[in-house]
Amino acid sequence: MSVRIGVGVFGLQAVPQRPTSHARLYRDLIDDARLIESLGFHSIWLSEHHFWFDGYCPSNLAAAGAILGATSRLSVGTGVMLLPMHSARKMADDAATLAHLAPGRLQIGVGLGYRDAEFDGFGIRRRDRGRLMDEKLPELLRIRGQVPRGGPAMYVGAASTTAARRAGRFGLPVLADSTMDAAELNEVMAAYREAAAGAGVQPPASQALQRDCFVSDDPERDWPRLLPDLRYMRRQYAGWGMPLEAGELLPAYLHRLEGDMEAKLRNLIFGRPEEVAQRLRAFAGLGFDTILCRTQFGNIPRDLLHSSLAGLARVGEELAR
Amino acid sequence: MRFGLGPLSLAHFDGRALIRMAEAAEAAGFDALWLAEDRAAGAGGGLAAAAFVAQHTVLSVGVAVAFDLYHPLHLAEDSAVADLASGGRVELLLTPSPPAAAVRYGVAAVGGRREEELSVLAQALAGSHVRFKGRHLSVPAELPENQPSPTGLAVNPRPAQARIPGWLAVTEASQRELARSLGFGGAVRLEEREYFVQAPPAALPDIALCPGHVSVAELQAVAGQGAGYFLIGASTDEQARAASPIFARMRMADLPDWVLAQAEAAG
Repeated sequence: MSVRIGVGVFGLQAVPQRPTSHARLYRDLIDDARLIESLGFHSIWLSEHHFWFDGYCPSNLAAAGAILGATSRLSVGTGVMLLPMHSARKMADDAATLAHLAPGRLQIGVGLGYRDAEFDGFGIRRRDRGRLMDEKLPELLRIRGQVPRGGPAMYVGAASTTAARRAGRFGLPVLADSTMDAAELNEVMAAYREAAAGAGVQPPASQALQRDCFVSDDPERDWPRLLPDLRYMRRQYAGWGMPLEAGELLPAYLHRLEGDMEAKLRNLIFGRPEEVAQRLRAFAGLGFDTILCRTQFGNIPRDLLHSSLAGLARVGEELAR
Repeated sequence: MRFGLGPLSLAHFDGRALIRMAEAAEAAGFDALWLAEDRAAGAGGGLAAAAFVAQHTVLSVGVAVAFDLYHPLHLAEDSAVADLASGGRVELLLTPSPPAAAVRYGVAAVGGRREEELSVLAQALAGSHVRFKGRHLSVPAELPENQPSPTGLAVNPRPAQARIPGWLAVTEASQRELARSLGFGGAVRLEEREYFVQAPPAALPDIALCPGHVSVAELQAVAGQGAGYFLIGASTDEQARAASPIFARMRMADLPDWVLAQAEAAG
């Protein structure tokens, strides 16, 4: 199977260890998008969160508009937008306009979201997120009528069998989360196929996977430089996903976060181009033809990002054969 | 005194056409290109479109957006990101949605809701920690089922500009006062002269929304009443070029005729 490589995930974060001004981060995003296009990648991907101190990008479609305007061929994906927090009608209308401005180049991935403070900011109960997703997905899919040709490809973010079943019921491809190992991915995709069959829906042949992935020509040199940012990013997600429980003491909480972070780091693909190509090819064997390689972890040093992108471009050429 | 071309409806312009109009606006001497959403027709994404076209022009990019169809914090976030992605060149014209758009979005007309949404938007655009308790809208909502929220929410990232310039469409006197109280300018149709108001020096001048063909005399009439920003509704290259001589006459009272005559001869 030929595999398309997308790169990301750009959250435009001014992380504490590298608190770059946002004016610079957005300027760099445009430059990076042009570089990514010139390296022959299929797509660039953004990610959404709200109200976080580091400015994690809250409006993926506004950032996507800038990238689409600055490039001529590159697709832009959202990996993912948090649909329960949005007006589905607004998201569809915003995406329709972008698809009109840059036909065939927008990919919309949607997911649930999980941070209570984000839901609360928009006046939504976190516990309602699944129901809201079920209600809003059909409304979002009306975009197919609004943009009959050149409309966005749609994905449902899946980090669990529940989310995969939802994607299956709607006949939409999954964008499988980077934190699952091969066994978990198999389980999730089995649930997906079962739900699609149960709903009488033919699942699409094309499926997408996200992987944390860094390509290095000199792993011994790059690993010590990369690790602090990787640990920071994974600890941040762990903290969002597993808030402090009532009565839980801080040392116990930090220990819990550390355990989750270490587990997630084990799924990282790190190495020379030939090693990375081999490991990604194994995922293609699970049925994923689009692999979103996360090689931006928060806001890593730009020389590291660019060297990984150059190596990843060689991986992409190998996998496209 | 400032001149913008548009607003151009996103329901009628594709990417190439927008870029062509941006080039025409630059060549004709406009200060800004303006776009307009038409959510009744399914054309949203004004701020995403602004970020798109900003990659092709050095002009400011204004967007006419409906402010009352979805949560105002989303509008503030879209604005901040588009402003950053355009290098600080975004401007906003806030319009109440037409009934057809409200029906399409399933939004009921409830007294006082729009005022609350504008208040939250103004706080968010100003960079404040938003804390708002209204009859229709609370930020943060502090719903008991959610984990405890921070005492206030800040829109991050901040826009590139200290404050994104914003104007509220004014069609009655009360909106005039509301705009002023929230730090927005007023945007008034050229023919509704009674709603123009001379702003204090630190405030934004009124926008005059003008048709594609407009005379210097018509603009001068409202320039003395508070209008300092003129949106010319040109929608073709030719209309953009035709508007150009107006700018010189508006920027200098009693401009000698020989100046423009000479320009015509040279052109």
